[in-house]
Amino acid sequence: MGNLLIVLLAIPLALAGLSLLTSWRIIRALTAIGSMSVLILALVVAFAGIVDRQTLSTLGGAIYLDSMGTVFLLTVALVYGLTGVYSIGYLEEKGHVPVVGDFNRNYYIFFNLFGWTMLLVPLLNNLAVLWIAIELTTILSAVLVALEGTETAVEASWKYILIASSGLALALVSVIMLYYAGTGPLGMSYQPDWTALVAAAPQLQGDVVKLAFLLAVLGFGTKAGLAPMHTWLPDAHSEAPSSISAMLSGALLADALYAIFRMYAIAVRSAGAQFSHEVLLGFGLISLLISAFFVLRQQNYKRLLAYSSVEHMGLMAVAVSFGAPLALYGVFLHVINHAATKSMIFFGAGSILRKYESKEMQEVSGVIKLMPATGPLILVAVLAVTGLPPFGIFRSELLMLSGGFSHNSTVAAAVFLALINLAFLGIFFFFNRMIFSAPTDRFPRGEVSRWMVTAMALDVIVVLGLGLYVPDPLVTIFNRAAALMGG
Amino acid sequence: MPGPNLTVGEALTSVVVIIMLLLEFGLLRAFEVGEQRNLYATQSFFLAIFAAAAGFLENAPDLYVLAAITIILKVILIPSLFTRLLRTQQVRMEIPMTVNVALSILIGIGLTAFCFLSMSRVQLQGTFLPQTALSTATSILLLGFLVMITRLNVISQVIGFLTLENAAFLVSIAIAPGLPVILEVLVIFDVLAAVLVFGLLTRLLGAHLGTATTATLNRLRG
Repeated sequence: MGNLLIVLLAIPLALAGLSLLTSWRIIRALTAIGSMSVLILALVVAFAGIVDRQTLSTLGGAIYLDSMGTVFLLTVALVYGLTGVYSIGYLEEKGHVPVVGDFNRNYYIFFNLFGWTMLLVPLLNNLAVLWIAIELTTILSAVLVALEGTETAVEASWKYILIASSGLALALVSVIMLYYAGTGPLGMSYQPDWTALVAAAPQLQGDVVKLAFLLAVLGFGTKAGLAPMHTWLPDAHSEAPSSISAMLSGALLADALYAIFRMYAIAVRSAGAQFSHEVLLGFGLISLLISAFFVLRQQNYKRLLAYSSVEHMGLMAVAVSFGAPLALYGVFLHVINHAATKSMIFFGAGSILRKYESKEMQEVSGVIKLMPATGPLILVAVLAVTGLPPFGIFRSELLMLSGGFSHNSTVAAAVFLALINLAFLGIFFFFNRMIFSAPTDRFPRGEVSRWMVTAMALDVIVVLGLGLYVPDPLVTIFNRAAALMGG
Repeated sequence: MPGPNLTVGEALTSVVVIIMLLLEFGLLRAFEVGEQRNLYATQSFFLAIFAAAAGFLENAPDLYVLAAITIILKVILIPSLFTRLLRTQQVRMEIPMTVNVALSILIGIGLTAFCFLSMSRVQLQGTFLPQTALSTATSILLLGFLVMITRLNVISQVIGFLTLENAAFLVSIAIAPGLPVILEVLVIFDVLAAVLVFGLLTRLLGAHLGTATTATLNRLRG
């Protein structure tokens, strides 16, 4: 079973290598097949491996997977797999872009490398290597954000890599401080493995761990899009090719959140729950507040969706701060729900962009009339992302909220409820207008690509499925992951 | 807190980290990118000396490897990449500033004082170099942010970011000299990859704007 993890990691690397050698028409088919195989492998590893054995490791423990990692592995694999399918339709004959070179070839090289680093993140035990992998995701995705070569794309990419890397410099200091804290029980020189640090957590110096955790939330939080460090996020999400926006929102933010969760698990066991909760509550509430208001004043639909990502990250940070096992269960369910729903809606946004050739909301009208398949699918995604039943996000938000109300966090839970409703109104209002208004006759009726519709339709399985029913193996994995997080 | 009796090693390493801090102030007062590039190379050189000294005092020969790699990549390779970018003339030498030199130095002194006062309260001591290293490193960190915020030349911003990384390494050598050196080397290569992407973006900016300054990066808002 451990070898499956190696195969899973080898596929995207091989695809990146092949992209150098063959034409993009061949590689786009291979990437779709390969990335979907990664998704299937991840499902096999989760349902046939992790459920029975709790942990898997290989390569002398360098590759390590537990239940918490599995949630994120599934998340990344889902988004990577579906984006592989979506990209077939999204890319068109583009040819040579100045400085960047052959667009489609470079797209597939960096798309697969980006996928590889994101799959690697939840498979690492060593916290320093985890940091390195996360910095690599920044570097590779910055290239993808800039790939269209337009002035605004380069500006977005510049801000993104500068802000995210600076944030990660703080996260690096955080990892070093944690290492220092560990030298007491673990000796002067050791590998900073998460399992070792969690086991030694009660003996770590509380003050140092507090400082380390604060820096980790600041640093990895920059990458996860927590406000007020989120400023790169709307630019990057709106300027990147839409397939990449889906990857950023669904998978990249989740990976950064995962790093925070790993640090959190150490912090609650050594510095105590109260401090860790206060930090996450603070950043979470600011994120909810800022996103709720910025959602209401957007004119660009991709930016609107980007602020919705900030909202959902804030939501999960607040939910963790409730410290209730039920809320933690909800958080892990929400990670997958958010990835599926947000990738679906960004896929839809990409189809709209290809059809209407504009990111401005006022340029888009009558989607449901002009795009008979994408229209209804976007409607489903909008209803799902705003948290209506019977979709998955409704279920996970309800779980997080009931965790909060049952654990004496009534005020925070009430603010949470009010702010998500505000964001709900904004998103619903704007998309409603784009979907149902009278269509213009400038554009012919019809879909841009069948592949783009397929990717969205596949997302429905998760978006709706997890709302109706959570399979038993997943329940087991979520419960174990919540236990690993602790308080 | 350390007593007044410093050993020779402690005194020397303290001097080295203070020089690194002063070089960071130099970034704030520089008017040309070339000057900032040289300051960065010099700061990295002192970081390498610091690593080697720590390796000697702590009897940790791994740190010599770190010192050597720091010299190769941060003192020689990365600055020469900047030189190449400057030679293509897509990047201007002068540095547009949002806050003038005098005021930014004053802010810098304030930040440094804040770091020295606040870090003295944290019980976080390396085995050989006490408070000064940590306070200095955090000061460099904040000054690096100040450089990135107030200096609008693309290369100045990258150098600001790179000095953040130097500060992180300073912390690492001072309080965690046992951190396996292979991890630190991987981190440096990560940084190198980031610099290459910065270079690509600079060329793209240059292709659009003729010259690459971040003063014009204001299209995306809200």
